[in-house]
Amino acid sequence: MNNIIKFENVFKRYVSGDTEILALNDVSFRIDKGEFVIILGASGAGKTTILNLLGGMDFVSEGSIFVENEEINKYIEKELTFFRRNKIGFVFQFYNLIPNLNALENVEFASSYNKDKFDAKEILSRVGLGERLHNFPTQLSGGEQQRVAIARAVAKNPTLLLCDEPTGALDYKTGKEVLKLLSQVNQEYDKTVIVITHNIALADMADKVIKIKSGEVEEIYMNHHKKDIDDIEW
Amino acid sequence: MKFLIKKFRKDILENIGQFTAISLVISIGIAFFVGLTYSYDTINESINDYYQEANLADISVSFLDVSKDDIDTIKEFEEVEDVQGRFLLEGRVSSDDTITMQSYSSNNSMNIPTLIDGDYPKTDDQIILDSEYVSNNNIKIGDLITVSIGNDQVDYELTVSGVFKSAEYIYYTDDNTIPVPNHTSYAVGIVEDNFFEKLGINYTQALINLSSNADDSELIDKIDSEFSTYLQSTAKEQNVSYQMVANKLESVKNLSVILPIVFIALAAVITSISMSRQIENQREQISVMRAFGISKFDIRVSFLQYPLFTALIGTIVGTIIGVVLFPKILISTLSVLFVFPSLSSVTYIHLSIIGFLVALIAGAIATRMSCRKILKEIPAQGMRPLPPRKAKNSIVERNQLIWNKIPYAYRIIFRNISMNKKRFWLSSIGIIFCVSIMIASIGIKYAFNHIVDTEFDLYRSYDVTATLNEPSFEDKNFKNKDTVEIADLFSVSPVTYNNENTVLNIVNKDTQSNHLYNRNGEEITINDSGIYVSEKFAEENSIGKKDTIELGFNSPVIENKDIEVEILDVYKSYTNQGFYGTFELLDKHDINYPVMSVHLTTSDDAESLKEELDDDPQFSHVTVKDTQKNEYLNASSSIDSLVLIMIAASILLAFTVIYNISSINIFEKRRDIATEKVLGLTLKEINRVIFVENIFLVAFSSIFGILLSYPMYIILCEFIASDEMAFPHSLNLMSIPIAILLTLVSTLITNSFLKRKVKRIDMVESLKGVE
Repeated sequence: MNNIIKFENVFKRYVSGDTEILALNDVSFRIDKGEFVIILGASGAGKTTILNLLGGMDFVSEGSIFVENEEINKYIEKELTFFRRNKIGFVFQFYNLIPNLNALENVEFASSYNKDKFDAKEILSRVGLGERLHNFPTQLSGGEQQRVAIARAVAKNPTLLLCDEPTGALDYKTGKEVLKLLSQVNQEYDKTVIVITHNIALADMADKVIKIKSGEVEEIYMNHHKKDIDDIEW
Repeated sequence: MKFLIKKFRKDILENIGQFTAISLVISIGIAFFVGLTYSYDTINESINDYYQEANLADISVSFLDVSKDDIDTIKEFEEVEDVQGRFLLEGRVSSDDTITMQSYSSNNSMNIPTLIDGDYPKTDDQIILDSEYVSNNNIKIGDLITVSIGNDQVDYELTVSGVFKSAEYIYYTDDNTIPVPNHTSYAVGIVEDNFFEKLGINYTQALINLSSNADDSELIDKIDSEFSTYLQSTAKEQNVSYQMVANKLESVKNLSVILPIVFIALAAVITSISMSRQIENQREQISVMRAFGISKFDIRVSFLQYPLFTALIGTIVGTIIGVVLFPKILISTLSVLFVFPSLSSVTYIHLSIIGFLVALIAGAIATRMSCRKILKEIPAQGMRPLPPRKAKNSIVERNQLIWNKIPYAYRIIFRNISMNKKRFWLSSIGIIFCVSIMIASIGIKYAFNHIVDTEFDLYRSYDVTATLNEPSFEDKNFKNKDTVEIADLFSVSPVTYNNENTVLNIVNKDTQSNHLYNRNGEEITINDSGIYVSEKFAEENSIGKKDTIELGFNSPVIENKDIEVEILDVYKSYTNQGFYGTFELLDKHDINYPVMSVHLTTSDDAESLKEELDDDPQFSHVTVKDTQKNEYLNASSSIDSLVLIMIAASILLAFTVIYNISSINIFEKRRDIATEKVLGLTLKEINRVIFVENIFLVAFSSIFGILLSYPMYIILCEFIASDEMAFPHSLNLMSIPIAILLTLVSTLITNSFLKRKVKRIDMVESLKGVE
């Protein structure tokens, strides 16, 4: 099998005061290399918890997570930091560019810590920002900022791209462009892309859809006829 | 309102580090203000009480000899309210030590000694001794001591009946050449009048209290013409002890003004930076509260709690530190020089209240100003996030060659600075002050060591000073000991120039023991055609080379006389202000000035020469120069502790400035830091950037700090130096690296505190929207 990610019987509990909240209840799924995966769920379903665990930002309460056959839930904090650095390319809902660095610097800054990286200028031209390398984030539109953020994630040449509601802060048209870019990245760079969203319509563009409800996996299915983003309306 | 108070308490608790830092800064300012002023008040009031209780005479007049009838005559002068005759005699005690013997009888009303143990002498074979001599020599009441007096050195056995301190003798020494009185080999003893009467001696002193509105100079003229035995008169204020105490108190008072001003101003700057950031960060909350209908007044009042509480805590802590620490340090160091009375406690509550009000008003103004802009906005607009500030290219970028070499993480620093220029400057002000105070303080310590070294190693090349039992008018050969290579004569005469009291140091023309250097550092060849003036005295009296001046002699050992002399050169001296002249010069003016001491250079060990000379009856005491030097260094402990306090305070301030500014920066950049964490930067990498940013701030501020340190040094020297002292005008350059190093160390320590703040930032922050 070509499983790049294995989630096995993962539980996540949060204690707040006297009450214990069960955020993930026995969640298991597998993701193959090069897949475009949509993790779908309403707010509060447990999407963000999965993202935090996959991104090496939080620890499981029970169960195991394997990324490229490494059991990352056994990592100590420092190992997790290097895991995030080398394996994960993160795309945030609110872009999270460093405001004092221009587009090019933002991309180079993130990838400067990686050995096996892509050329920042080239990636930025690929996402259509070849002319705006020296603009600061405040001088760019939301869609442009998100494209810089995607370039930043890709330039690191990570194992997988984790995208948290990447279109959440964008209008319909720009959102579509961003998704198109993500699927291009998936195909051209052969990167595993995981998009976390509450937008059911996006399910059609994925290879695999993982539906989460109340901290449990409701359904996992493969799209045998996935649609081009241009054909999806919401 | 209750809700607002509660909310505000919570805000403070969340940022307890900053709250503590601001309270700390205020407490340092308050500690200096309350501590120094309180110490001054305590010493000053205790000493004034001491003077009052002792009823120090307005004038003391010395005579070669004055009878009881003469005293009665003086009593009849209209200027005199009260007069009291007194015996005064130098002698030896316990075979080796010097003693000043004076009389006291129970009907005396002036210069009353304070008995601290035992009884006043009741019979003519009893004596009371000064507390310091008693404790240094382990003498007990009831002990027998032998006092020898007069040229024939007749021995008298006396019983110690008590121990005293005296307002007349707060500072007393038998040797003006050393600044630290030696209370082990010099005593003051008080006996009954009978003791002297039995010896057949007359009074030598009249203590006089003037009647109101009486003119003292008229009285002195009367006495001078009436009595041929009149020698000199000293007003209370001219008394050595009185002057020394007044001088020192003056410098403590000066310090208690300048240092608190510096530190409170610094505290105000730091508080206002922190306050304004704190409030700006709550902008949206404030607007939400206003949308709820909470009045501007209530919001303002709730924010005023911050300066209120920081000022309150700062005042309490500062008062405690100030009242406990400062008097202890100051009094214990001043006690090297002075014998203080038991110190009465004075109030300091009024000082705390003044300090509190200053801190509160400064804090309130800062708060009010920060609130103003935000409260002006309409709530609907205030709830919307501020548009992000435009990033700006930094000046460094103009040089692409350098810029391209700077790692991305560090480029953020430069862009930050160019975006927040105002904050950068405000924070540098704090550090600039800290660095300059540190450099100046260390400079003073160096200067003091330099003073002692040059005075003792360069200006005085002899090994031993031997003071003659009594001034000698004849030529004597002091080179009669085998090991003595050089023997130079030396005297000090009180002189007046233009009504200013000072001294004339008298040496041989061809002296090899004392050296004078001019302003260019070249040695002056002392000749007998004129006198030399010290740089400080020359500047203060606007006199200089080639001026002819009139010097008045009012020494007890010769007749009063005025002479006209030319100033040949100006010499540099740090501790010896006044004039230098030669015996030969005075001879030319028909003054046969007696020799008071001899400066000796030995081919042998100085200590063994001292031992040999100690047995020689013509010397009253013999001092090894190196011992003098060490005592001088001991006297500097007051400077040491002051320097230490100032350095400690500056380090603490530097610490709080950096901590506060960095905390604000970290708080504002928490989203960026969370993002960097997600991107896989290690804590070490993130902390390093913050560290470099602080180092850059410190380095930048240090440049200005170094520039400011010189004027700071001159100001502090001005305040610290007493009348007889001059500090070198050049600042020892070593103080700069030491101060910078200390600042860097405090930056390092600050950063280890900041690490926790960075660590606490949750990566989940990065997932949230822009606030």
